[in-house]
Amino acid sequence: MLELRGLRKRFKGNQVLRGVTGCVKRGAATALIGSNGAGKSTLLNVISGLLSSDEGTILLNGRDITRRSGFSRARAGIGRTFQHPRAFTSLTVSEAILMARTPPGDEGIGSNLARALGVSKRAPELDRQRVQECLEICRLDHLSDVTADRLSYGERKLLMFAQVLAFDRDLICLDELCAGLEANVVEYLVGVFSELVRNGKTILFVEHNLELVRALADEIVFLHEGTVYRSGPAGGVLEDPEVISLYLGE
Amino acid sequence: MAYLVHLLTIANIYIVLAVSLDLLVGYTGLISLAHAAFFAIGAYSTAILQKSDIGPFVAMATGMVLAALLSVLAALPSLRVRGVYLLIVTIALQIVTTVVLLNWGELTGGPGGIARIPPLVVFGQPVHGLAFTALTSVVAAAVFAICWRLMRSPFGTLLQAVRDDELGCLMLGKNVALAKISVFAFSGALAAMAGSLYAHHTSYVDPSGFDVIVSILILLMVMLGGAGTLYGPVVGAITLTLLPEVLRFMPAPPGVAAASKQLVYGLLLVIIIFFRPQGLLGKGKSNARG
Repeated sequence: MLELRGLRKRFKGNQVLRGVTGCVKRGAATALIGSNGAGKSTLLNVISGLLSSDEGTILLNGRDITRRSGFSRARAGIGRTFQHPRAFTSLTVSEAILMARTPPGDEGIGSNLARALGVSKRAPELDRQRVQECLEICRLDHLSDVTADRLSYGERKLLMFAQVLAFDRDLICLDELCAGLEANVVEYLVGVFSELVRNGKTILFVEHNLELVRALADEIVFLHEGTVYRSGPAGGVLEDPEVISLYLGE
Repeated sequence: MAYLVHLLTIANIYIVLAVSLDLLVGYTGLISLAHAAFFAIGAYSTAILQKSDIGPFVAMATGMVLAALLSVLAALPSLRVRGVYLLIVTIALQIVTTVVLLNWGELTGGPGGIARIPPLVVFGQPVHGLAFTALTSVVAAAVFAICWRLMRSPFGTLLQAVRDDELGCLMLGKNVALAKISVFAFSGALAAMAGSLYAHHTSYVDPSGFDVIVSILILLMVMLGGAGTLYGPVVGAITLTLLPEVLRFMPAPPGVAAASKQLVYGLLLVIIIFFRPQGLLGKGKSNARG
């Protein structure tokens, strides 16, 4: 699904990614683990187009997306959440999810102005049923009419995830989504992620919670000092003595 | 009576200007001090093209198209910068427009402007006086209604999302650049329409009526009334059009009458913004839930 070849990224003299090469299998949950500063979030940012790589290639379904912008990559099939929750503070929860679901063709000024002028009667395709489903999956239905600026930290994270669900991309990148959430919520979300994978989605997730990693990951990529130190089936990587030494310090 | 009719007409024109600017400032979060430049393009297009027997609505449409194109120029920097940096770029655009109006004398009449602009003709009949006031009222109401519906459409939701979190929009596959360019062009076109009406009403245009001070006044109307509401800028436009006239009746010593009225005008604005920073009809920040 996703192939990375020799990705390099430098920030102000600090080489954060040093030739990352690897692949994310279609229809699997791949965990990206590593110590703080290993380059995990930077790698996610480069994959999603938030940052451009200095060198290297990114292929999505065989197509080179290296030079494509962030929004172009999103349209091509990559959805993501952020390490720190982001929210459209003036929109209600349901408005934010609906906005994520609305196709580009229904958001242009032309079609909407035509409706405002009464020239066009064609209604936009607002998939309110899917919005309701996302609200229920993320347990936000009781907050549907609350503006995002009034949500708690955890609720904003869930809203971020609900938007990604509504956006419905084939590759979902989650950057420490479960960090800071209650244990029962994390356990519930693991079930949601597993269901997504069973339904054909591909998940690439950054996590420090090894229990979650063990519960969800089919594959693991262990990033160390900006390179892929180990990658492969989850069980094998987590039992690798060198991984244990470098990451767990045991 | 004639002066009251004139004031109402001017208020209606400023309502169109303030509502159109609110689409940029209030809904999209793009602070612009170039709105008088688009206002000028509409006014001068009407003034210039009326001399050549082109119909008034063709002249108006030409001004709106030209303003929309110039707006795209203003929109391009907004793809890279926001806040005070965008403000500086729009001020530059405004100043360049004023300089062109002052110096391209063969086209614009230079500092002396263009006079003897005929009244608007509708179905072969010139429209002026109370009839023109009624017409501008209808136009202002129509612009408000259209913008109201547009801001409650998916396009309006997208603009608010761009204002709140541009990066979040990009990661959801939203074409933020196109949204900004679109709203700038639409806003500029509406300002040009207001300019065309203004030219017909005053029968005379000159650069001093479209300088950066006018852009500041329009922005003040939006902020005073309440950005991001559409009805707030309507109140702001009416207030700032009528307030100087109301202050005419304020008693003041003859030697300092003008200065004292300006002082009171400024103080009133400061007091309103101090106690209602979100504007008269703006929405305050909601409290976080426990």
